Parts: sequence; structure tokens; C-alpha cells
Amino acid sequence: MTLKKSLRLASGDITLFSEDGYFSEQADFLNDLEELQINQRTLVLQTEGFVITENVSRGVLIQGVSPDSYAGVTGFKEELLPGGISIGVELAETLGVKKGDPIRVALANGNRGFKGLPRLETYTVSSIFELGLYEKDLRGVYILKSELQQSLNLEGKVNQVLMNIPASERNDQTSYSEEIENFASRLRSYLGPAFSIRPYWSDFSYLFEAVKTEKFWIGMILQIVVVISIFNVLAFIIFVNEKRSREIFLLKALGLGQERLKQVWYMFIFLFWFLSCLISVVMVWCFNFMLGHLSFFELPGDVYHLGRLEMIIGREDYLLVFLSALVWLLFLSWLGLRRVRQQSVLYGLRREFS
Amino acid sequence: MSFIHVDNVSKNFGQVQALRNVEMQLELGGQYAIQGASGSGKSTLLYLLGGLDRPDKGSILVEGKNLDTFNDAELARFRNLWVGFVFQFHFLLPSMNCLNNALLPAKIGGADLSEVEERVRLLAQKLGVEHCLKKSPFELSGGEQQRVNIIRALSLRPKLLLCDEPTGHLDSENSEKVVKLLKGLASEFGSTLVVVTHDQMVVSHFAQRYVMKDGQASYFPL
Repeated sequence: MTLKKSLRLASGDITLFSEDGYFSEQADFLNDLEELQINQRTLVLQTEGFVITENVSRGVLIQGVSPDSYAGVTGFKEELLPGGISIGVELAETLGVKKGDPIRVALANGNRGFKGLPRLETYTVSSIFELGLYEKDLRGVYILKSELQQSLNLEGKVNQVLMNIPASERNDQTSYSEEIENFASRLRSYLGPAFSIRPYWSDFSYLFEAVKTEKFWIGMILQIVVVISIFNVLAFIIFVNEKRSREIFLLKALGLGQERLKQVWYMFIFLFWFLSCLISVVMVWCFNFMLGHLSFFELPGDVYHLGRLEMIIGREDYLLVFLSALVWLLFLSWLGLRRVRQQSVLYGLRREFS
Repeated sequence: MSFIHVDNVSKNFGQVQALRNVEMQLELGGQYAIQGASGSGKSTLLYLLGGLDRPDKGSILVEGKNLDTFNDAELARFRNLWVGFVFQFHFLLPSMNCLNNALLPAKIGGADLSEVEERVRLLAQKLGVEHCLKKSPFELSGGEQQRVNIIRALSLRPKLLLCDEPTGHLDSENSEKVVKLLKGLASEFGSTLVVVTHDQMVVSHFAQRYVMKDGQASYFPL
């Protein structure tokens, strides 16, 4: 699953907030959305709170949703039963709970009897989801909208509309992100400044920045690898043409035949290739070890799922690289041998030793 | 029948005619000097004799066999077993010590290494470079390098010892020593010795001489 798909699974294409905070589920502007042919939409009540077990408590973002319409917009299809709560896999691991376990949720307001104190509700874990985003999997929890409204004394009120852009807005000329951006812009003009309208990625712009930076550096490293490879190839060509051809002509003068030369030469090339492969495997192992143990290579935990990088290079990847290198080496050495073959020993000796 | 018969040989390098209708007869065990100015074609003739290249016209017969009919493998074997080259520039490989340099022809030809090594050590003792065998070529003086070069050329007891300006970068004292050495060793091994030179002092040691001029050879016996 891609990063953008994961984000979309959490919020649909566009999120709409009212500047006034909560609004009625029957608000007039919702009819305007209907007119704009936004058929895929869902109302959400979102608030912050804490989930609490005997030993651990965690701050979470609680979303009260209507499962069917929410799934229609986002594609999120985890089971959500009355009295149940759906939590992310990271949160479940942190709390040490599994499906069917009870957990308590402290809501920020809504206690009818004692103002200022949190309201505690007990829910049963009805599903554990995995969106693939560490923060979402750690901090996002879902309960039924009606239950959250009741707990917060906000019956009939919500504070978000999640929606997907109408199918009529889609075309092949622009990317999906651009279509969303264009539609959000039109929606802003249509609904006016009383509403905040955000594309699904806006809350995670820092994540995209991180990925962009990461892509830039990977690109830089790849370019360095390519430049180093070019230097290696040039060095090998010089090595073959300038250094070894002198020896080759001398050996030919002393009685080394072309066939024997070919055998010796290709044996040397295979040895060279084999040692290079061996060294590269050792280097990968060393680098991986450093990635796992040196603090310099640690990643910011609030952005990445893993605190450490790890190179995942499969057997097929090694084979692909090593075989390509072998083909490349054989081609270069064939060129070198061809050059030697085309010149007489006399010409070669005179040229190389003059 | 002479050991080597050069029959009407011509060789061109592009537009340059290096050899023109050269005739030459060399006897087994004979010692010859080929004299000529730079660019006269003497080195080209020497290398054709050693099977390092093929003539464009004419033939070179060794014991009656035409070198031109040899394929690449046969010619390589001929160079390995029959010919010893002493080059002006020693052409010793810097990546190995002098002993291994001297053993190169034996290694290439698959000869009995222990037997050849024994011969190499004897020759080194005779030429006063036994202490050089474990050294790298760059640790040796020019005279020592040339002696190792000679040992390598003689390591397989070739029937034909071809020397291209063997004293080219030596002083007169060392030059004379090297020429005497070559003549003595060739006699001992029964090899035909052909020395290409432009040095009159070297030529003076040989009774049989060929003079090269404009790609043609003339025989001048004493």
C-alpha cells in the first residue's frame, strides 16, 4: 500500500471543518454539497481523549463515525459494533490488548455531574486495524458516531465532513492530486470563509516533506553510485588497455597462444568478478550492521514507523546485479581481447614498449 | 639445407616498405650480426625470424618448414620452444620477481619447472646475478636486468637466440661483456645467434654479418 493510499484510507479526498466548530447534521450547507454532486460523503465527530488500561494511557484522536458511509468514502471497512472501539495495531501493541478486550476512554468534556472532570467510558475492542501509517496506527481510534455524540452531549452535531470528489471531476489529463486540489479550491469559493477545506494530505505535509527529502537523497546517492561505477569502468578499461596489454604482448612473444590467452584472461576476469561480488556482499553486511547500530543512522521516530533503516536486498537482487556486472565485465574484456587479437605481436610490442 | 632460409621476404607497414625481397641463410649454431641504421628494417627482419609477425610476401623456412603455414597455436609453440628473445628494453614484468620472470617461458609452455629452475639458477650463477633472482626487476641495475633477460631467453635451450639491440642502453664495458656472454652461451647451447645492432663494436665480434639498408639485406662475411 502506498503512502497516499494509506492517508486516503484515513480521511477520503477532502475534509471540511466549520470555523464555528460543531455544526448540525442537518446544516444547510450540506444541501449545497448535494448540489455539487458530492455523493460520497460522511459526517464525523472528532475529539481528543485518552485510552487507559491498568498500566498505560495514551493520548488518541477519537473519531465518531457511521461505519457504512465512512467505509463508502474512505474504504475503511473494519468492524465497529455498538459499544465497540476500533484501534490501530500500534496502539493495541502499546496497550497490550487484543480483540474482545475492554478498554477505558477518557473524553475531554461531557461529564454531566462534575464539570471539568473527564468522562470515562468503557468500550470493547471490536477490531484492530493497520493503515500502515505509524501515527494513525498509534493515535487513531474509531467508535460509533451516535455513541460519541451521546458521551459528549453533542447529539445531532458533528465537526467534520469527509468527502470524495465527484466522478464528473475526474479526467485523464490531470493527476488525481491536482483534481482534488482544483475541486477543493472551487469548494472554498462556493462555501466561503466559514469553512476550512483541506485535501487529505494537508495534515501530513511534513510526512511528504520527509519523503521528498528522502527521495532527493536516495537520488543523490544513486547518482554517486553511477558516477563511481563509471569511474570503475574507465579504470578497468585503462587497466586492460594500458597496463595488461603490455604484459599480454610480452607473454605472446614468449609463446602464449591466443586460445590459451583467452582461457587465462577469462579466468582472471571470473576471479576478479567473484572477488568483487564477495566484497560487495561483505560491504552490504557491514553497512547494514552500521545502519542498525550507529546513532548517526537513526531516523526520527515521529515520522517513520521504524527507528532504524535496514537494507532489504533479496537473492534475486544480488543475482541481477552480479549477473549484470559479469555481462559488463565480459563485454569489456572481449573488447580488450579483440584489440590484442587485431594487432600483431610485433606491432603490440613496439607500441607498448617504445 | 640451411637451418633458416629467408626467401624473398617483403614486409610493409602501411605505406612504409620495411623489408624488400630479403634473402638470408642461417646455419644451426651460427652466429650472425645484422647491422643497419635506424629504420633500415633490421628489427623487423629479426621479429619475422622469431615468428612474431608474418611476411607480406616470400617465406621463412625453419628446418624446411614454412612459418607462414603455421596456425596461431603452432606459431606460439614455435616461439616458446625454438626461439629465445633478448630485447633492448628488458621487458621484465614488474609484478613478479626475477626468478619467476625467467621461468615465464617454461610456465607458458608447460615445461618441467624444476628442471628449468635448475638451469636458470646455473645460468644466474654463471652470469653473476644469482643474488638477483628473488628481487623485483626495478631493484636491479640495467646490466643486471639485461642478464636476467638473457637467462629468460635461454631458459628453454632455444635453437634460435634472437637479440634486438641487446647492448642498446649499456655502457661500452658492459656491452662487450654482454656480447661475449651471448656468444659463449649460444655456443654452449648450440643455438643459432642473431644479433641486431647499429653498434660497430658489437658487430666487430661477429664473423658473419648482414647489413640492412632501405629494407634490403646484404651478406658480408669476414
